[in-house]
Amino acid sequence: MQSVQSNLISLRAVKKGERFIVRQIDDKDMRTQLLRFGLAEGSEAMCFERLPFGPVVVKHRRQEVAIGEELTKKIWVEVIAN
Amino acid sequence: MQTLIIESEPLSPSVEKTGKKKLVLVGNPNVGKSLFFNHFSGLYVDVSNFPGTTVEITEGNYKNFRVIDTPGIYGVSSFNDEERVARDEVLSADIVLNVIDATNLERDLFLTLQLIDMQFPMVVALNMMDALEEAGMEIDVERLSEILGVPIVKVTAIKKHGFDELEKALENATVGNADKTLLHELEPIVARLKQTLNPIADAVMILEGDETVAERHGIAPEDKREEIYVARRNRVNEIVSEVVREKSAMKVGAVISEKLGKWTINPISGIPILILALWLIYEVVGVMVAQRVVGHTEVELGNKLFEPFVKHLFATITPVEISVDVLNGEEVIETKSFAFPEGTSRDKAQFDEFKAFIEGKDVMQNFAFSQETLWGKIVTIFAGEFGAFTMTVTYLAFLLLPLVIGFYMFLAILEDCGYLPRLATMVDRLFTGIGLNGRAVIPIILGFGCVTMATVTTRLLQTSREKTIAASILNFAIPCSAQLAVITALLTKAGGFYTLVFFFIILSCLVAIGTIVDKILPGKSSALLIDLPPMRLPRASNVLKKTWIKTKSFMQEATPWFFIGALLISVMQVTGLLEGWVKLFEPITTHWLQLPAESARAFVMGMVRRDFGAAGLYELNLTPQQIVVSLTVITLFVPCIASLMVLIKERGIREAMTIWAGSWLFAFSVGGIVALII
Repeated sequence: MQSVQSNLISLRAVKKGERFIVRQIDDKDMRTQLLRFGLAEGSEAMCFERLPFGPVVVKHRRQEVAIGEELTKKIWVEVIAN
Repeated sequence: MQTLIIESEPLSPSVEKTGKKKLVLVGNPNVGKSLFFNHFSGLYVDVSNFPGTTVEITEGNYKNFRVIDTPGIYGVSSFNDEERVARDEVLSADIVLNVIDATNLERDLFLTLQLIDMQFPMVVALNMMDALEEAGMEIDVERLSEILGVPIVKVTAIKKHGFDELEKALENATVGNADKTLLHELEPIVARLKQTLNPIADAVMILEGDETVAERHGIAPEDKREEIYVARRNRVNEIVSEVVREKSAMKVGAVISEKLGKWTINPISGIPILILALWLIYEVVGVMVAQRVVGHTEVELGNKLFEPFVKHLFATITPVEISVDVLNGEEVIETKSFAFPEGTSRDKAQFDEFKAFIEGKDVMQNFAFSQETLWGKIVTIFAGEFGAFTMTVTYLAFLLLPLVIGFYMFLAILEDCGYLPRLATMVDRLFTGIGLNGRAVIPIILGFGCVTMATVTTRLLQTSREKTIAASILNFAIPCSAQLAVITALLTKAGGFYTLVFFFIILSCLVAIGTIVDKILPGKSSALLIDLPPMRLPRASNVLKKTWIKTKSFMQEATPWFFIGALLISVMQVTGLLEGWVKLFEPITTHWLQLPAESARAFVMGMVRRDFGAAGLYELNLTPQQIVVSLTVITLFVPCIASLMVLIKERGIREAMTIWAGSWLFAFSVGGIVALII
């Protein structure tokens, strides 16, 4: 696993309704797939819904993407004030 | 740069072969691409499996084009089977029609830019213009067309707006403005390529690290994918910020769609919505189609009309005994046998008496062909109890067909309204424990309808590993609708407590099978990463077309296997193998499972059709404990012969036989343990 800056938290830990900037994605395949959905390192999104112990639904402009629990641990984000 | 111009190519191979140009429809999932395909191809389409895979490709004709519909993809690459299939169709295109969702430019333009970089002559159809309005947004289409360098046509496909303009635009398809830096990087690769249809497209794939395409040209793939993707993503973002404007607030329709979308994912509201959906499916497919329609078609048309007709043809020259049950509703009120030792044609008097007897009555005719001669055995194989011309035709046309139509129609509705990916998200957690992800919910739910159909649907899972796990769960532990009716009836006899015990046993087995297969198989299953399209009203034309295409393709695929299965079983019947098998299992049934000897027959018959197995049990007088044991065994027992055949085709003979043989072992082991405990 790559090193992570201290102000970053994993997507797993983001609360519902919080806005954040994606800073680091630790999985190459997922990085390319998310690039196609429009979510790149540096893009701003919002935690639209989160299921208990399950996937996190991220909303980015009009696009909603559901990300399974395993993958949310590999996405590092910086939460920004609303 | 001369070599980079595609139009200077001689006639492409596909044109030479058929005299028609290949028009390939490409787009992200859920952009309404099928409506475009429907418009261009009409009703007469071919569905085929792409060689070496189980991904479906639909093909039709429009003017002098062969129109190919491809699976929805987010980019041309090879992350999964669907992408690999789409990639090869795209690479062999003469013209590309790229369908994009106007409300989701940021996602869809990524694929568009990639196609432009690949330098295909193309047209962009900007679909869902009405939804764009609803969402309060506006796109500067002229500017977008100028930036991309390709014709763009505004379309609202559901309302059939814009198709005329699109048809005209296809004549003016152009190669767009590719990324200059990228084109420059492609030159050395293009120079090294073998003869190919679209050299630049192939070169883009190789530069983006596609191993298959690189191998075709005998060169090593590059590793520039991420770099290119980041650059492409940045260009998309720039374009979007230049051409898209927020005009007004979202309109009511868009707000409702967003709210509804949210409710379907959140468990508190999502579970009731799921229950409602399942209840609707149960009421329509389970009760209306399976009980009313099939009850009528199978018995009235199949058993009483079609089968006797075929059997009488054979009976004219075959020794036979026909026993007639006179019915009053469900009840048999009179039974009479007629023997024709030399066939019905040689014994006019007896046959006339027979005809007079059945005249005007509601009867069920049972034919027992004499099996003393080889001819008699052959007749039994084709027209006997499990005859290929009798039982199989009834089963396929009068039982399976209405059910399959019903299920595929619901699947199409749920798919079209955008519910399935949301359902997959909500239940994802339940599936990650057994080596699957939320996508597996679709084949598993379908399994309760027809395991054969569900096994075909495991194709939509992304990796072979997941397909194996889902196929195992389906064929081991899911009872199909053929059994459910009898299972329900028997459980009612056994009472509430034993019903709970039964559910607990089957659920534990389902989890155990998933967990075990997940542990045994090497590697890891993929986690959920799924795009959630907006919820919208399903469109009737789309639903009907999808139902028709899916049903047709399933029936085409499954029919030969049902016939082969019936032949196998009939041969086993006339050679005495079937009886031998029953005898073999009698001691296990009586001693190990503590069930009456006759239930061995019910189990073995379950190999043919699962409801045969279950129905056989209904006749026996079982205690509640015995009911639980026997239902456990038939539920876990081998899939029906048609499922087995489809399983062989989908998953290979080794995997299929492992599952099949494993089911015998598993069903009897678990059954025995249950018998010991309760």
